[in-house]
Amino acid sequence: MSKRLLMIDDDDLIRETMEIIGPDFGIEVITSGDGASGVLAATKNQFDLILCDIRMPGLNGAQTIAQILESNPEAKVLVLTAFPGDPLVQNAIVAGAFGVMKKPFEISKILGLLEAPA
Amino acid sequence: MTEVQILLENVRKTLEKSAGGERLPNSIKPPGEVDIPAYVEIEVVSPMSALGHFYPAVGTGSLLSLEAVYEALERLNITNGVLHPRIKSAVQKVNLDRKVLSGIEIAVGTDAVAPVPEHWELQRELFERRQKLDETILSVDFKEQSPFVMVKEGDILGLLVDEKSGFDGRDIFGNTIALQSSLRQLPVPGANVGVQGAVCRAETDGCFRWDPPVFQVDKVLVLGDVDYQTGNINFPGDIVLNGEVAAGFRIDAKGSLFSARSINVSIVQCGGDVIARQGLIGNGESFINAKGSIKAKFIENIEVQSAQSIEILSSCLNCELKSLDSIVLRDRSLLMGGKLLAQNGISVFQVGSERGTYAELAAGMNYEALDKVVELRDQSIHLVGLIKEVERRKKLSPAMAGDLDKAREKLRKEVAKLNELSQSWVDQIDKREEAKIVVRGTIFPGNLIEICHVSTVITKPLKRVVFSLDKKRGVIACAPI
Repeated sequence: MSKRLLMIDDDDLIRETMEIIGPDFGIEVITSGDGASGVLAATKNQFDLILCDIRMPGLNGAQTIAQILESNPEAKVLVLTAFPGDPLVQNAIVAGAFGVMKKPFEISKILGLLEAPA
Repeated sequence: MTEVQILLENVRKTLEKSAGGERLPNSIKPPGEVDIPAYVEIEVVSPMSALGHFYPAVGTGSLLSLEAVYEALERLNITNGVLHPRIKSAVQKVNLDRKVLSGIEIAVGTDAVAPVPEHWELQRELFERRQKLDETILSVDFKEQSPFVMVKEGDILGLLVDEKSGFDGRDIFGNTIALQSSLRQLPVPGANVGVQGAVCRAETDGCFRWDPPVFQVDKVLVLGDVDYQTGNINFPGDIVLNGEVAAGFRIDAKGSLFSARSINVSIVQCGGDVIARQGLIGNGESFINAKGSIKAKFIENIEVQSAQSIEILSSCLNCELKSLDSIVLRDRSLLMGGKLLAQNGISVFQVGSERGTYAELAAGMNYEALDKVVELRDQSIHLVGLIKEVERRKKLSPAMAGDLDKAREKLRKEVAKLNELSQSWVDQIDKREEAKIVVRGTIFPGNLIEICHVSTVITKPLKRVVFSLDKKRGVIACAPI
């Protein structure tokens, strides 16, 4: 059974790339272009891993992650950022994010985390 | 009358003359003492040596004769190596002085001598001119690299010595001692050593090396400043830098690079180690790749890749250090910004500061595989961008739909190929799940810790902690040292 991944990022190219290459690695990829729709998708569906960009218009990544974890504390959410030192990343970690991934994405890390125990 | 007796008689006559013709007694004998003739005792110390103990005559006892000594030797079957002049001298002395002569070696055997073929004899002075580097600044493993014996092209390294034949030995009894072949290793000329008749010379400037039985010259380029006068350096051996490197110059060494001063790095490629007693300074686009280890006092604004370990003594500012072994920032070193990635673990002192500046510390992963996956990902993203462009044109030109669909399908297949390739590299990334990141001082908030793809960001200052991978929970564990 393929693993399910939710990617929340306002960058179209990154989302579409993930949508195209994900299935090649046996991953079903769902994408959201902003924090609010990401929270909605995460609340309605079960995902093995959620990637959430930290700098987005509207809800930022830390707020998005906080809301996702509020409705589903078991969700495995990873912060997607080009700058791990960004203070918003620390907020996201404090809110319960599972870890950090450098943008645009790290396929090896995604595969590793999907194989790791929940 | 023997020769000695004649001599003694002559001496006596001379003495009588000097005493006004008064006749001297034949011997000085204490009253009541018997007359004893002179004699010799022979002591065989070993089959290779015999000693003679000579005793003078007492009273009117007869003097010692050479014949008596030889008879004594013959009785002991001592037939070889008899030291005739020494015996003659001893006999004369004991008869004249009338004092005991003890422990005179009178027969000695001859050792067997092994044959020595024609061979090269190395110049002794080569071993007396080791150039020592200053080890006070960076003591780490310098001893292994420092004992250079530098030679210049044309320096004489060895001279040809003629063949010497060997022969059997013989003990004092005449028994043969068979010769044995020599175990001595004879020098053999190696790389960069030229033979000109009976002389061996260095064919290049370099480092003399005696690795028995081979002696050779390792090419070493000793440089002052590297600048517009020297141009970029490309050398098939070790390089010793005693000057400074002007910004923007490239250094390629098949061997190692040693620097006494700071190196302003543009691009450095090394087949061996890179050792800088001062610092390695870059401009943000600088790059060092070494198949050996890298050691420096400090390092700034450089991307560094090492197939072995990386050791920094004082500070690492805004660098990307990648090692297939470990990265160690020694003593009270400071890590500010940049990224450290070491397969077998990292040890640092202070990471970041209260004012910000964040670094990434990643362990357990193979950077070569990681870089390859990132490269393939970037290619995939580029191809996906092209697919998007094809789709956009398809909307604008429905008449071209057929051709554009074919193009899209072709691009899609390429992406699939890249992903397949990427998958094979992904499997090689996580190498050591037990790798640890040790912080001996303080790590400040904002710094990223990652072990085998599991990561976290520090949210509060932590002192003297070790980070490891909690495989069961799939998280980074933090414990005090």
